[in-house]
Amino acid sequence: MAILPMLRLFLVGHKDDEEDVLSLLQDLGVLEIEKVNLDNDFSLEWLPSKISDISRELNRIRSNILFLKDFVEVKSSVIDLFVPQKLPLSNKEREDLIKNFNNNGGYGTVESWQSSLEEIKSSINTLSQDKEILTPFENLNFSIRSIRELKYVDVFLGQIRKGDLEKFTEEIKGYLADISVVRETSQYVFFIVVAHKDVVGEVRGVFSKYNVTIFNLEKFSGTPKEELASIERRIDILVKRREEILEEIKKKGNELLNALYVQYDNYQNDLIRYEHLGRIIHTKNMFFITGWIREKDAKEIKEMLEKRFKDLYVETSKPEPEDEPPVALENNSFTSPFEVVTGIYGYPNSKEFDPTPLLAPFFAVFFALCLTDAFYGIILSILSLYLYRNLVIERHRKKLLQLLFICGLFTIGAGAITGGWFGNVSEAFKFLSFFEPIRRKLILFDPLKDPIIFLGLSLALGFIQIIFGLFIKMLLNLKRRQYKEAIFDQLFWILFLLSIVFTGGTFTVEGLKFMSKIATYFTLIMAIALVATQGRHQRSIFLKITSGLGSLYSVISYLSDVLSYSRLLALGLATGVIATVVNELVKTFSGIPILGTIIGVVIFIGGHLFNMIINTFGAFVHTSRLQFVEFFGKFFEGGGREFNPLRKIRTYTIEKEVME
Amino acid sequence: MIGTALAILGSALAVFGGGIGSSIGVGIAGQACAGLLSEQPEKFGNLLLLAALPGTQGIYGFLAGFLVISKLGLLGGNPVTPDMFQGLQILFACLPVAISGLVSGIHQGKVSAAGVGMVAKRVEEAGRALILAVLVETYAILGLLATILLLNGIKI
Repeated sequence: MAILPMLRLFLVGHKDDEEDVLSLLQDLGVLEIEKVNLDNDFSLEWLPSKISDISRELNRIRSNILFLKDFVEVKSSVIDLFVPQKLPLSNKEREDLIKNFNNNGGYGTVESWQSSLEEIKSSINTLSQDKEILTPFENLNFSIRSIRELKYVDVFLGQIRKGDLEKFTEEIKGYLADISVVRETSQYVFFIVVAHKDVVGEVRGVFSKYNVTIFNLEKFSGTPKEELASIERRIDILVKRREEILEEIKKKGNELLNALYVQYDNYQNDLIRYEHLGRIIHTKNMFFITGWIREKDAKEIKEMLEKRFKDLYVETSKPEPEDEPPVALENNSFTSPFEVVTGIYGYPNSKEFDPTPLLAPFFAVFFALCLTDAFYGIILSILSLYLYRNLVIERHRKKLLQLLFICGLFTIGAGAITGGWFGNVSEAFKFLSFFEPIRRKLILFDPLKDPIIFLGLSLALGFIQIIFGLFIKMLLNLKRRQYKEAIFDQLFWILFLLSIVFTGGTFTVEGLKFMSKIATYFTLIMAIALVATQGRHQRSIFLKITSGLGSLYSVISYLSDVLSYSRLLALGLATGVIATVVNELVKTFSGIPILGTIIGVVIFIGGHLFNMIINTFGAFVHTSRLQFVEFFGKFFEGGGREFNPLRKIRTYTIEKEVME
Repeated sequence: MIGTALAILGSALAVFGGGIGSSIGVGIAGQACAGLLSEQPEKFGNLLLLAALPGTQGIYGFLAGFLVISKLGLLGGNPVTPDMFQGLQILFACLPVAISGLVSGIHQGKVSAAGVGMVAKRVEEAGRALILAVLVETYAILGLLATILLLNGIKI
C-alpha cells in the first residue's frame, strides 16, 4: 500500500569523479549505499587517516563550542531542554560565517580566550591562597626579608588547632625558643615561633608532633601589609583583564559560536561522506557503487548524474527475490503523522504493506477516549500547532506534533460526549453555569455514573479492531495464494468469534431472542469446523482431533485481548476524576476573599496542566500498546529496515529553505 | 460509624499502596536516569518519560481513594454512614488497585531502569523502552478498573 517501491542502482565511474559524485548524492539525499565486500579491493589507503583527522577536528570544534556556550548569552527556553532547537541558515549565510570566522582568527581566538581565562583563574586562586596566609599576620611591622636575614634565630609563622595550643607552647618553651600568638579564630590559632638556630631541629620535631602547619614564605619579601596590598593590586588587574575578555566574548562570541556550529555540521557531513567511501568498491582506476533508490526518484537522478558526469554509467533494476531492500513509507497528510507509531514498533518488511493507515483511525479514537476532556483536546491541539509552527527542527521530526494535533481534535469530540470540560468545570463553579446546559446537551453518557456503558464501548471497539486485524491477515493470505490458511485460520475464527458475540446478544436482548437457537447452532458448527481444521498439520487422526480441540482454547487469548481494551475506560475515568478533584480543591479555597481566588487560580492552572500532561502521556503509550500487542499481533510481521540514504545530517543548524 | 472507618481504611490502603509502589518504582527509574544524565544530559527529554511512567500507580490509587471519599460524601455535602458490611465491601473493593499498584509500580520501575540502559546506547529506542514498561502497567490498570466497577456496584 504505502511502502514505496525500491530499485537497485548500480553506478560505475572513474576514480577522479568519485568524490564529486558522492557530494552530489549527499546533497540530493536519495541513495542508500550498500556495503559490498570484495576480496581484492583496491581500498583507499589514505581513507582511515583522513577519517581520524576529521574526527579530531570535530572533537576540537565540540570543545570550543562547549566553552563558548557557557559565556555567550543564547536565548533559550524550557523547550530547549526537551528538544534542542537548531539554527536556520541559508547556504550564503553559512559561507559568510565561515569567511568571517577565518578572518577573525578562527579557532585561535576561541582557544586563546579559553587558555587566558584558565590562566587568570588559576593565578587568582594562588593569589587568594597567599592572601589567606598573610592576613592573620598583617599587623606585624617588620619585613619578611628581614626575618630571613637574622643571624642567630629562625622565625616560623604557623597555625595550630586551638586545643593543642597549651601543651605545644609548653614544649616549645622547653627549648631555646619562644612563641607568641597573633590571632585566634574559632578553631585555629596563628602564631610566631622564634627559635635559636641550634635547636631548630628539635623545634621542627615538635611542629610535626602536633601536626602544625608552617607557612612557606619564600616568595614574600616586604611586610605583610605591603605584600597584601600588592596581592590585591595583582588580583584587581587580573579581574579587569578577565572582564575585558568576557566583554570581547560577548561582542564577538555569538557570531563565532554560530560559525563553529556551521563548521561542526560541515565536518560531520564530510565524515559521513568519507565513511561511505569505505563502502564502495574500487579498482585501480574505477569505483563501483550499488544501493537502493526510491523508484519515483530513479529516473530523475539517473538523468541528472549522467548529465553532470560524462564518464559515469548508471543502471537501475528491480530487486531480486532474495534482496531485502530498505523500507520507505509514504502516506497522505492525515495518516502520515501516524508513521511515528509504526516507527516505534519497527518498520514493516519489504514484502509486507504499511500498517499505518490501518491503525490511524483506531489510534486517534482510542487516544481520545483515554483523554476524554474537550478543553484538554483544545489545548493539546493549539499547543501542538503552535510548536509545529515555531520549533526550529527538521520537518520529519515534527510528525509527533501533527499526530498530537489530530488526536487533540478527536479528544474534543470524546470530551463532548462524555461531558468532560476541565472535568465538571461548569457544574463546579457558579459563574460558569451558563455553559452547563450546553455541556448536558452534548453528553451521550457520563462515565462516572454509567461506567458500564463506557466499558461496553471500549470492549466493542477492541473487538472490532481484533476482528479487523484477523480480516487483514486473511486478505494478506489470499493475496499470497495461501487459501487454506485464509479460510481455516482467519475466516473460521472471524465467523466463530462473531457468532459467539451474536449468540450472547440474542440471549440478552429481548427482540433477538427468536434467533438464539439458530445462533447457538451456528456457533457450534463453527466450533466443530475449527476443531476439524486447526489440527490439520498433525499426522495421526488422534493428534489432529486433540490439537483441534486445544485450539479452541485460543478463545481465551482473544478474550484477554478484548479485555485489554478496558484500559480505555480506566484511563478515561482517571482524567475525569482527577479534573474533578482539582475543581473541588479550588472550590474549598473559594471562601477566602482575594487570597482564595489567587490560590484557586494557581491550583486550577497547575492541577489541570499536570492532569493533562500525565494523561496525554498515558493515552499515547497505552494506545500505542493496544496497536502493537493486540492489533499488530494479528497480522503484522515487521522487521523492515528504515530507508536511510546518504544525506546531510546536521546537529546544530538547519537549512533555512527547508524551514520556509 | 465502624462502617465509615472501614471504608476510610480502604481508601487509605488504595492511596498508600499505589503511592508506595510508585515511589519505589520512580525511585529506581530515577536513579538510573540520574546516572545516565551525568554523562548525556541531552537525553533529558527521553528519560523524563521513563522516570515518570511508574508514577501512574500512585495516581490510580489516589483516584480510587477519591472515589471512596466522594461515595461517602466526605467532601462537603451530606456524608452517608455505611453499616459495617458496606464498609467491609468498600474496603475489599479497594484491594485490587492497592495491591496491584504496589507490586506493579515496583516492577515497572525496574523495567524502566532497564529501558534507561537502552536509551543510553541507542536513543532511538526510547519509544520501545517505554512500551516495554507499559506492558507492566496493564495490571495496575486492571486493578483500578476492578476497583472502580466494584465501588460502582456497592449500594449505600
